[in-house]
Amino acid sequence: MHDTIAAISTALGEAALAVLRISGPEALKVAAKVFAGRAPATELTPRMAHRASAKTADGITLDDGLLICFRGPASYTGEDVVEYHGHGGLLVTQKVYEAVLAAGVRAAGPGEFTQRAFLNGKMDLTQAEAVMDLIQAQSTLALRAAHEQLGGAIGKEALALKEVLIPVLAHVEAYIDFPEEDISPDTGAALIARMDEVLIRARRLIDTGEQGRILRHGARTVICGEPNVGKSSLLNVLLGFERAIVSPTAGTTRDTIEEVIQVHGIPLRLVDTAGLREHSSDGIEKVGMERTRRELERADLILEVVDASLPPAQTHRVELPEGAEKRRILLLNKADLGVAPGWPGEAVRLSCEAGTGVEALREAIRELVLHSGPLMSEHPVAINSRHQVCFERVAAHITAAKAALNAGQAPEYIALDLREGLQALGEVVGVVDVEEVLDVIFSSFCIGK
Amino acid sequence: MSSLFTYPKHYDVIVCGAGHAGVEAAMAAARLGCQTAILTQNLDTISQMSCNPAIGGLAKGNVVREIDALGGVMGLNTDATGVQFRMLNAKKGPSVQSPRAQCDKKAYQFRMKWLIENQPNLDLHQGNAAEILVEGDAVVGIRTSLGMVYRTKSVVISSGTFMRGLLHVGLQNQAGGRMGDSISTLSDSLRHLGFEVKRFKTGTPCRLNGRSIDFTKCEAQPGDEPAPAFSYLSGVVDTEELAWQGASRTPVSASSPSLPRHPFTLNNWNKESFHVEQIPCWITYTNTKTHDVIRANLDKSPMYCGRIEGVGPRYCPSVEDKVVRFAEKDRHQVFLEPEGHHTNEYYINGVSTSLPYEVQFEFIRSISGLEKAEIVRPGYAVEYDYCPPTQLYPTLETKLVAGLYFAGQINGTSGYEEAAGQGLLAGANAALKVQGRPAFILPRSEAYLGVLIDDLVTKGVTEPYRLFTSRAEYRLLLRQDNCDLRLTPRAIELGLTCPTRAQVTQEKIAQLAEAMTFVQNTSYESMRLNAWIKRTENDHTSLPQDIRAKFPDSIWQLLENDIKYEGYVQRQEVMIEKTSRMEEKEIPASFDYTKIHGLKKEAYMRLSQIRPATLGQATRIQGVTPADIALLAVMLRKG
Repeated sequence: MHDTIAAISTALGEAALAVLRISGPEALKVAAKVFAGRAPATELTPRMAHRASAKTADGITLDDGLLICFRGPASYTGEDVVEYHGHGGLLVTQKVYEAVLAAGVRAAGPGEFTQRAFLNGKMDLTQAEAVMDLIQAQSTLALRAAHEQLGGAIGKEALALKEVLIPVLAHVEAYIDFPEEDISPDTGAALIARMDEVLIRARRLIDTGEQGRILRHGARTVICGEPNVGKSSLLNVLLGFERAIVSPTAGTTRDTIEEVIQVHGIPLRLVDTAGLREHSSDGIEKVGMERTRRELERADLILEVVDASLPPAQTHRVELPEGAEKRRILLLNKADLGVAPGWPGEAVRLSCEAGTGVEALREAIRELVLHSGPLMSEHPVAINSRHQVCFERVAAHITAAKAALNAGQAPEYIALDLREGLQALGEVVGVVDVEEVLDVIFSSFCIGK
Repeated sequence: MSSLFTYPKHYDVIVCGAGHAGVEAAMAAARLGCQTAILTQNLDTISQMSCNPAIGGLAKGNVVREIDALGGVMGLNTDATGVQFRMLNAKKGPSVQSPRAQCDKKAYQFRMKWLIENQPNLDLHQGNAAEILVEGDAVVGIRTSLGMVYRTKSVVISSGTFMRGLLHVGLQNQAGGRMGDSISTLSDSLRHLGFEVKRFKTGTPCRLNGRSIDFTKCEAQPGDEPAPAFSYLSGVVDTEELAWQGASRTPVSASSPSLPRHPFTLNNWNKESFHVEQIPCWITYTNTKTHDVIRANLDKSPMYCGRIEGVGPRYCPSVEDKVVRFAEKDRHQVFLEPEGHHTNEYYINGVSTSLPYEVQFEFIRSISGLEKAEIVRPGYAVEYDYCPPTQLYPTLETKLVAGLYFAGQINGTSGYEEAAGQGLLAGANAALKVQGRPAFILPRSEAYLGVLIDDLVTKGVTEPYRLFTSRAEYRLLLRQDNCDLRLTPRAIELGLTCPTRAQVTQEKIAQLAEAMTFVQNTSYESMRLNAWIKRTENDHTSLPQDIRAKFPDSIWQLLENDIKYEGYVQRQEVMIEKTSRMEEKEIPASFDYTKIHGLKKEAYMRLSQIRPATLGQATRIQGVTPADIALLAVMLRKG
């Protein structure tokens, strides 16, 4: 039996639609966990499109789209396959993908879907060469990516975690395998302390997952404010900034147009720019308002524009969702015409028409994103979703090992979780062989009855 | 070689070497119905315990029980001749408990010789194998140093430390397979056939006369009462019947002649009890004076002045190694192990050494309780030839010569149990091949023996290989109490075991199933009995007598172990299932790795050298990546 794998099948950052594919014996079960529709995926009519929304384990809706189930062998891979067609926004797709991985699915390896299709007899033998070329090409890319990761901060941190974890396992294993020896491997508190260290560091890495998303795909940036305060002028100012390389072209989704620009090297994804571009008629503006409200909840950065010439009392401020203030920058537009009394000193004064205050805006954005907002952390580099899932598994297994130790479980059960934790880590740093554990045992303890 | 005499009888299987690997190999082949011969330098040293007089221990004890479950002889012979029995790790979980026994060294040997002599289809020959005779790429016979030729369809080599053995005591050295025994030159023949041959080193401590030891200064380490036996047949049948069945495939009936009790069967066991007259081991410690003596004489240790080239095991260091590498320790544990009921010799466990006699004398006498000790045999180091085991298929057949099998230290392993397990599987596979039957390969998920052999043939060895429970990724499933449930059905299928064992195991399996149904359908303390057993604070011994009496304690214990750790067991089963397809996908031995274009050079080299039997084995080869496996899978399908 094969395990179940998943991958985003469409090229990231280009399409209006994103297709996420799950294949394997658990595909339908996993889909039923992540996607909510009229019926769970396990009961849907195969090969028919059904509306479904993707949800996190906590029940937060991530995206709405279409779900198509295929029952093996009548599928691309010959196994049970679920396809989810969602909105092409990179962030949304990424989130849905993470939710699927979190439901217990492995990220597919290079060419793995095609390989399975071939092995299950879904492809002609003459296609074997093509399959192999695909695997080779993709594994070269994956290898390069892995090397970059390992050379970087994440790789170093993952290796450091391994260095902490192996001795923990070595002590437990020594306690199991050498009962007749005059050795005293660490037990209890000393092991717990090291497991705690692993947990803290793993969780810190997991937290950088969100950063990684922002660095790779851009911070979701929403421009809001009353009509005629200069939102579209601000948009034009921003569009004059350097384009971010994370997204080579402006993507078009079903209902929004997004642009990715770069401020001091931080990619900003300008959300709902369509609404801003077509603000002429009241009707559309209303629809836009509704959409904006939804976007505010998901935004990493909110640029709220007000007319500087009007005092706060005469301004109808945008109602921000709870906790969103921290992510907001207040922009006093038309400041060149004078600033009415009552606006806070930290608000950015600028004039989109005159082009003044733009530098202050850039500074404010950098300040917020890097130091008080979503990127605030000691970690300069971030992890991708596959790694994030690995570290989450590391944390889960170490937590379980700790619980087993605290509950007075026999050592081999504690070791099982420690081993699985190391195995998860091995997916980032390469397989952890039992020889490494034995090396630590024989160098730390005088074994030799 | 001037005049060759070809022995008139032609064999199916010839086993060279009658140590722990050799006897299991010969017995397994003979039990499978092959005409088998065992060829040894000295018929009086069959199954000699060259090092300590003990069998079992962590992981090793499980192996002995696996051998027993497969119809092997080590477990029963230990039960018959043991002088002390203990269950190690009794306070830890059930999967890491392991039986260990001290044996009466001579009784163990002589009783084993008697078992072999009585085994149908098995002949004994004394002789020193000198050359492996090969025609084409297949083995056809063995030539001894005296020019005798034995024709055979297959050969198992279990040479122990005898091939080009070199014994070191201080800076003196002499050729020998063991102190007092001569060497074998068979590795020259192997090298000539194209095998890679390398050197390993191991060592043994001195033996003391018990009369010269002051035991009042030592701590006693008694055996467990009741003594935990090794064999699943222990306590099931009388010794006499047992020996008879071990030696015959004829079913026992009431009219079966009862063999006389063998004089070297020391222990009395029958349906009711396993009675052992146990002797304690003793514990004492080295001290700073001991360490000073050793440190002052390191220049006389062949290890430290470069006289020994072979790599020794890290888990069994010499005492000089301990003193140097763990300089901060001011004492090391020393176990005094009796070598039997009818000898005063004590094995001094923990002070394996190759220091000169006079230094051994001095440091031994610095140890508390050993101040007046008389050394009867000095400790020594031995260097010997082995063949890196990546030259073998998982059947233990060599890739180079068809019909030639290796088992034990020739494969770079250490330990009586590891040797015996390999012997059994090599002997069985040699026989199965002769009979044209499918090979017998145990997966890692089913037996320690599977782990052992897969590690050897897939990863090779860098030091004498020993099993640890940590090597078994499915450790929780490989308990010492379920080897028979795991393996005996396979042994029955193959014909490796006697009918009594088959019957006992089948009854046990049925009884266990019955007990499982019982606990699922019985209420106790307002819950299902299985739910009650699952709770950590409960165990079957506190059940009321009327419930407890329904099944024997051994069944309750098994059931409890199964129920209590169900969750963990299921996790391991899921892991196995995930890899099962890979493990089952076979790679033909003739598979041409050059056909996979784009395979990384390292992967190509490793794969074509190891020639894995399955895709699963290929995944465990160092330097082979998942992408390489994907390519291999595609090519296998393409064919």
